[in-house]
Amino acid sequence: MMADKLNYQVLFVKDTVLPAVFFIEELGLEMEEDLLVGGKMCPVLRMFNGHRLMLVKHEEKDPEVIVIYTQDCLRDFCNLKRQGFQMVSAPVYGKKGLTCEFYDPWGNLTLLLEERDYKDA
Amino acid sequence: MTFQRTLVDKNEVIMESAYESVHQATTGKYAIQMIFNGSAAYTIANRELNLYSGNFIFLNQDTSYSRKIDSPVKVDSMSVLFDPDFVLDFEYARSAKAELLLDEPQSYERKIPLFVEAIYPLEGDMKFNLLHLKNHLDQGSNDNLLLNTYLEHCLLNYYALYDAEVTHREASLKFLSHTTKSEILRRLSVARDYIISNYNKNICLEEIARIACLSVNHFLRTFKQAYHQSPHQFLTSIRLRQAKYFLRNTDYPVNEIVDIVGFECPSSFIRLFRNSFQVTPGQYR
Repeated sequence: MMADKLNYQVLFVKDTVLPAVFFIEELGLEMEEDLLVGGKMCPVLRMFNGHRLMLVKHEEKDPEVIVIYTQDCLRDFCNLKRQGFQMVSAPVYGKKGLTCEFYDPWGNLTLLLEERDYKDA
Repeated sequence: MTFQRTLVDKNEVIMESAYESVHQATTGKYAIQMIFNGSAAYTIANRELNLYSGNFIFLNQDTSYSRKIDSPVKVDSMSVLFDPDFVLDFEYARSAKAELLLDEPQSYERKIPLFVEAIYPLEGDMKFNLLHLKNHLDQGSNDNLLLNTYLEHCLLNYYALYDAEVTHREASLKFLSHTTKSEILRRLSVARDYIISNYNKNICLEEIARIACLSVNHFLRTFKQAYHQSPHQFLTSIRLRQAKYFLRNTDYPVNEIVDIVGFECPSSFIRLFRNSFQVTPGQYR
């Protein structure tokens, strides 16, 4: 596994419940824990490779860019497309693997990355 | 023996596990055929080829071939068959400008593409995508959008590989005539497939040159121009790659792997392996 297990991303959202459901149901993240930060409960979601995404409630927030690691970019691309999500790009191959971009329901630009180790493949 | 055939529109994916089987076919479809473990013997026109795990072969839609599996270990294979219309649409979408695709989607000349048929290593994105496709089919997926997307990406990966392995190599040959370049590369490709098919045997340069219908000197010079290595270096790289496969996927002792892949002495194998991959076979395992 190439990913650093301590990698942490923070996403500011107006409400934490619906985004958490979205990331769990559509992109396969798992609920790890709720952390109390500044008096607010913040869900911490875990990606398959150990990376974490923490959702922090914030009333005034601008759209952000986040990276979600996936085990199967084409599968997720098809699922999102079928559900009518706005895909910014078709899946493209790069040095790190296969990626595609889409806007989540709250306007955040999400980069889906399937890391591929080309050294031994 | 298990056999699973999945239709994806007019394309097909066939997965088979068998100790023994014989197929004779002209499918009318382009085919990517691969072996996940063991080997299969192919007769394609007058060529006898062995396809080993970690490789795939691409066949044109009008090629008739036979495939024979006769193995002490169960051989898992997968064939992805592309309908010619699917390949034509893909090629048009890839090469035509966006305005033309929108305004005149049917305007292209329906010329069936003909590829140089060859054995390629199953690696990079092609490997990742074919393994994902296999996993989805193993899980019984019949999601047409997903399977079609995978087939499209397999073709995308194949075209990228073909550009690198055929189109660019053809261009690197030092001949003026395009026809001569194509013909020489086709013959070199036949020689290359022969080396890959017989990597574990004692094969001599004269024999390979004869198979390619080239003189030894001409073969040596053009092979190096096209592949930037000598036939012997190429053979060694194939043996080392297969050795990696056996180290990773079996518990055979190193000495036995040395024999299986055609090296004569373990010490030279270990030295070559370490020089190529910066680890010893034991450390790699």
